[in-house]
Amino acid sequence: MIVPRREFLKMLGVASGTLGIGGCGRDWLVPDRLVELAQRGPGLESQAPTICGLCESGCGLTVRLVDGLPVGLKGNPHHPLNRGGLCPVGQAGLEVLYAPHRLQAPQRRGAGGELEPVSWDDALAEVGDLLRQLRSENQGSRVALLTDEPGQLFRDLADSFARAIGSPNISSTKSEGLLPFTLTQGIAQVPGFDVGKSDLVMSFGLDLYEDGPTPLHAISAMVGSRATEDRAAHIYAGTRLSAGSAKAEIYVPISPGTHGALALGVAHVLVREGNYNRDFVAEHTFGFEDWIDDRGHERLGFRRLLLERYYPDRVARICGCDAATVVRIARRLGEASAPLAVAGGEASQGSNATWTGVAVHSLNALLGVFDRPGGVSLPPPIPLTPLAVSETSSLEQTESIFTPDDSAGAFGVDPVEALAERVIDGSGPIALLIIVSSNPVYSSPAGGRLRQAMEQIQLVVTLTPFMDETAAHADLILPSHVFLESWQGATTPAAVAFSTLGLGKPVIEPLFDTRHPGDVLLELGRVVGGPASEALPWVSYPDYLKERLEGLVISGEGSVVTGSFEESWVHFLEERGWRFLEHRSLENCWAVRERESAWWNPVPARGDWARLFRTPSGRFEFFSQTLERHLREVGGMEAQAGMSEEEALERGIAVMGSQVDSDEVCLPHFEPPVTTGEGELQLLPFRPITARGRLAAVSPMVMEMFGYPFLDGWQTWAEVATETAHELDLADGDVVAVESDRGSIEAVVRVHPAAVPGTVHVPMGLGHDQPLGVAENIGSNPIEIIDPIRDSLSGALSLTSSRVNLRLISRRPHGGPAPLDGGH
Amino acid sequence: MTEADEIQGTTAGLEFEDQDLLRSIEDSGVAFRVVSTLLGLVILTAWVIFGRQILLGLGVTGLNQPVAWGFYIVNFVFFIGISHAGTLISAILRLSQAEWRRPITRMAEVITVVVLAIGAFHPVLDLGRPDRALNIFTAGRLQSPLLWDVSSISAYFTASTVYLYIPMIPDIALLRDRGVRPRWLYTFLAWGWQGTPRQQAVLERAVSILMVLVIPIAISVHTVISYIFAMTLQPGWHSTIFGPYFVVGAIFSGIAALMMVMIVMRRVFHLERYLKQVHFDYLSRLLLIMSLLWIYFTFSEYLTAFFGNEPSEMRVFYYKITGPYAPFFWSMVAANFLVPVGILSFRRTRTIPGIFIASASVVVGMWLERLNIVVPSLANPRLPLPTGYYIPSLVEWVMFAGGFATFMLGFVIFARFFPLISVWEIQEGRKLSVAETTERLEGYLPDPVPSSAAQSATERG
Amino acid sequence: MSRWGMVIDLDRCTGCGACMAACHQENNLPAAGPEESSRDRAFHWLRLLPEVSGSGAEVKVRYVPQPCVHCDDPPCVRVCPVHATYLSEEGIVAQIYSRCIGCRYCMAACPYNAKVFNWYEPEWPGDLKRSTNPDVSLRPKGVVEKCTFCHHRVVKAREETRAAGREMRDGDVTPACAESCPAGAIVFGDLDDPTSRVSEMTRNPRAFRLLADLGTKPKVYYLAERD
Repeated sequence: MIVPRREFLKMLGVASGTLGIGGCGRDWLVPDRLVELAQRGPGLESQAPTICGLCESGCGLTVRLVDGLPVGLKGNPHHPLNRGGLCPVGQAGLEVLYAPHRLQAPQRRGAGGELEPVSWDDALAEVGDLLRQLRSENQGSRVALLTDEPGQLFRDLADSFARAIGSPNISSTKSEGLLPFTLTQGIAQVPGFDVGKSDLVMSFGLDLYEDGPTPLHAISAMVGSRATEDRAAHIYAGTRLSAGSAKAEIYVPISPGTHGALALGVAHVLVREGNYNRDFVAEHTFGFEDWIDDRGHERLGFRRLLLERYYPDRVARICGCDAATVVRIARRLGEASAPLAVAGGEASQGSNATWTGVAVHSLNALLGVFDRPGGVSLPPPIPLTPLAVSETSSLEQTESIFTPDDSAGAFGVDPVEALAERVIDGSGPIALLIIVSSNPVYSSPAGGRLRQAMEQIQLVVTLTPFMDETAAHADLILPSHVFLESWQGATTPAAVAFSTLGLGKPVIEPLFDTRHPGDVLLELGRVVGGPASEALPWVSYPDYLKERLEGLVISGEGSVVTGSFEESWVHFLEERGWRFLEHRSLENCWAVRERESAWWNPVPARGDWARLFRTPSGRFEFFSQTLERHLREVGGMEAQAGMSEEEALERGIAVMGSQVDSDEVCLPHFEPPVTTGEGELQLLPFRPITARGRLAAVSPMVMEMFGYPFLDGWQTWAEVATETAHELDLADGDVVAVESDRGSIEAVVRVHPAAVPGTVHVPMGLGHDQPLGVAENIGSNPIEIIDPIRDSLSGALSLTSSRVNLRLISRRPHGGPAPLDGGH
Repeated sequence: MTEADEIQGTTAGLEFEDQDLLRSIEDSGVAFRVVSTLLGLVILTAWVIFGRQILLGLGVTGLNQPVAWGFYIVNFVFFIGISHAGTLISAILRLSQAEWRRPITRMAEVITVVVLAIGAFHPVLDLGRPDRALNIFTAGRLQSPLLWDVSSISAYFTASTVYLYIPMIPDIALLRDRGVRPRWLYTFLAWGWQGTPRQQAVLERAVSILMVLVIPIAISVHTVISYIFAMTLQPGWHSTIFGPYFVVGAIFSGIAALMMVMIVMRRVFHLERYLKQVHFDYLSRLLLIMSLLWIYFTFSEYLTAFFGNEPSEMRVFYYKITGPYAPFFWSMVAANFLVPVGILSFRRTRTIPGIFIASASVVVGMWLERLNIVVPSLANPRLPLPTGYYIPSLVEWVMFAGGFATFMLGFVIFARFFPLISVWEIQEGRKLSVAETTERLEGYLPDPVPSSAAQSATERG
Repeated sequence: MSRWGMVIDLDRCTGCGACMAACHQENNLPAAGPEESSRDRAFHWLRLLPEVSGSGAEVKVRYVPQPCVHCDDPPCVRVCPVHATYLSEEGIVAQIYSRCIGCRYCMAACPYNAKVFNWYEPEWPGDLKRSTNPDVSLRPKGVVEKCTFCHHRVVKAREETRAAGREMRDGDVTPACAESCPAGAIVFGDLDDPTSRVSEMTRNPRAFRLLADLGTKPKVYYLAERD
């Protein structure tokens, strides 16, 4: 008897399942045609370039195919972001594609709460009917859209869609930390930090190599593409020494949330020693020296503030570090030829994150690093074809559900929290919620509230390739492609100094009955009909991408395309799969283009100060007039007419809950962090590189190396300082409950000799209760126990302000010291 | 007339004092069946568990990285150590013409053969691919200490089996002549023994060659086993005294095991007439000496490691002295030194029960020693990796029990078919040894004064 | 004949773990799963060794990517009873999976703990087997496995250069770990070629080898961080 191979493997699968060695015994999922090809194909190998879609970075990939089936992937050495490197999550791309738990067809929640399969037509018709109905009742604003699909191109389409159906409610689920730049530079984007040419990067709370928008870019630009002697030095101030920040030349352990104070202490020394860029400060900043305002009042300047209040001894006291270190850092920064200061990670997750961001960014202004190589600049805009403004914008515009509440006085809101609260309290009667490539129930501290809110929403639709916590509470679950099956347009990630446009094309046909979210939105537009379908005229998402990219070719900026657009389109896709464009400059790297069939010009336009500083003064504002105006507005809001501006300002400060006086409040200053709960330790969740993106937990390989700095996998750990462990009588490997006012999670104690005593760091990324890949019920999710408080300026929810206790559950199951526990 | 009477009848003409030694063979009884069924069940369970291990993989054990060796290797070294009981002791006693050896040698030799077979099978239990075990022969590398082991264990097994069998031939012939069933077995194994002077001479010659041959082989076996460890660079293993240390330990545990078996068999088969206080007294003195030797070696071994203060050695050292293995280490010291020395040094406690306790303590202690050697070195890698740990799984415990059960069953079966005490040697001792010993003792004495010798000669003449 | 070696510049390494992941993907290392991982049975041919030095405020932690160091005098090869692990003429310490009897003596003898064992039949849930690299065989249960210096890539590169009618050049072979490293910290090449990058780097005063005093002559060199 000849057993067909496939049958045989199936039998093996069943056999291994019954033997109890954990074989899942599932049938193969890949369509028969592909399996056939893989087994009988001629074995032809090819390479296809594409873009990694697993996190917001959009690194370049080269996929290795055998007979059209992907069998391997690696970093694309030509891509300017990752330059051949690829992070652990990116390496797991194929495991995401072939994952055993992918959603294979649309599902609908029945009356009893159970899921039943539904056809795409029926599913879209249901959403379309509701949309049509809402639109006909002029209630487009009862539709909300949350999307974390990376890239401006998709977001533009989603915006068009929202406009077309008359909804102002569209947002990503994350606050993006733009406010410090808005206050100081007047811009609504994170500027580019040219880490590739900087010679000293001072990082506040951000592990450049592990977290942040593009860690692989930081590694390749700071280390990988430079000779050892030219490598950027790196100073790190924070509460945890991660694998990446362990590379810092100087590590400054500080108390949680005091990064801003340290930055100001450093600024003090720079100013006192005259080590700052006088020309830049004089020409391009506002509020450095004392000044006289419109009404003739003398106002405190940043210089005097620094010298009077942020002397190293005081700063050292606040930060719990050493005054000499503050001086040492300042001198290192002063000596560097192209220093940079960046804030992120824990520094941008506290209750004082915006104030911290402003304080850190003011260092860049003092050092005068704007608009120069190795400094801060804006990446040139990508000349995409602009989208026609929809006719439907004539619809009555209502206020977005994501507009900040006046009484809170913040500049923004946490989108998930705002949505949830307003649905629950009835002020935002959302009838249709569409969630695209996002899992806010899991990833947001307001996720629990959102889950409650979702019960009140008539129809919740999620577009996701995997069953996640959000989908588990949705009414309609629409399976989307994974990145290797779909078209992608990746635009410049945040904080990168040059512009990139990556175009990913599918390397394999969809394995299942899935669709791209873009196609779903376009299809919905057609189902709704009328102006909505006119506003979304594209047949398909690639069709849309094609039209947008035409702008690049027409603009001629950096295009390498010859012949017709059709030809160049094909050429564009097949030759490279990604693209980057800059303003033309003398330094065009034609040589590179010839050799690598790529063109990259990293030099941005210089001297465009008006674009860089869009503040009222047209300068970098140490004294933020934007903030002053805002505070006055907030303060004057509830007050009677005739209130003086000073009174309004004072009231504004009070509403904001700031703890400093009116002189200081609009200047970079230190705002003490606020915490909740009575615990002994402060909980600081962090995102390890093995938890990048939403889908890291899908990959067994990534889970296996999840805690690789501790030679660990598959478990959530609680990292504490040696001293803290000693005080609490805990040892490495003990299992503890991390308990906050909100709840408790289980974690394994990992003792780290360089962590700041009094803190406990818990990685995000595990603790899924849905079969998102293999990590169901593995580890725990620290976000669950966060008792969030808001950053009073940005409205974002703080992740780092909960106080917790560690309660011993069980001693480590086996003896012996751990490698980092100083047992050697 | 019953069969027993018939047998009695056939030997009625002869004077036969040693009926006690054959009782277990000629009248096995129910106890034998019960015991062997029980032991068989344990062994069967072990085999089923082993089958499951083959099917699933070694994952069913508690082994891991870095502790890649555990109970199977510990028991391998332990059982092979016990096997030194026998042949080596019996050969040394024979060689030194210790007359008190006569009731002991057979049991010692049986222990060797049975336990050696069990021990030698342990590495197979430990293989990830037992189906490829024969690769050792088809693709063997003689440079590997494991191959040395294979060679010396097979040589030892062969030699000790022969060494057990040859001196057993006259007893088998006796059983054949007494018509004990199954007759074919005894007829076959007796090899045509008629007790002719020529056959006697050949037998004695063979035994004396074997006893000389078997001693170096036995010593080589445990030396080579120690080389498995000592030839690596691992801290705690890479030591020059490992060879003699293992041999001493092996003989030590062997004697203890032998005495335990003797005490049990004495009780079960009522051999008090043969195994007398004096035998235990002598053997326990030997055990006492070995205990002292063992502590001396242990002390040297650990002092060298401690004094050298090499970091990776110290990790292993402290792992045993104060770390997770401290309970095992100190119990080992107590069991191998304090208990036996405490009991055996004093005549008052050197009673049969006392000796039994001391021996059992040594057997346990020597097993702990093997554990202390195998696991801590593996658990403490040189590189900054987490300290390993090892918790044996139920599978390994079952296999351990299976090993013991096999030993017991082997012994019980042997006792069912063959005399545990060499009948002919006892008889020979009775007939000849008093005279022979007297003569030998006289040989030790100073020669008489020549003049008086002459005088006595003249007197005789 | 080449003698392959590797230099890992710890000054460049940022501890991102890319090498570890790339090794998993390239060499079809199965995931042991949560249970087995917690029992120290994970498959890592390359891992990041944490090293702590100093104490208090001056404490330094570094992560040392450690594959098999491919000793020129490998203790594992010496003890193997069946020729299942051997030193190839190009200096790669290789494992013959189909001959290995699984005695794990090599694991016990390796001072670098570079070898891992297939405690169970490796598993690929669902279609994950599709993601495996066709150039590298899957191992059965019960055998020892280890880093091969991406030997299949060496073979491939040699075939390619032969087809192109030229000699092998420095940089023709890049193992998966080196290829994925965004910091360019891992360099691979011929130690016998005095002009190769690896040879040049081994002459760097920062160069050192792990446990060099054991005399195993490892062919993986490290460059220490600059102060």
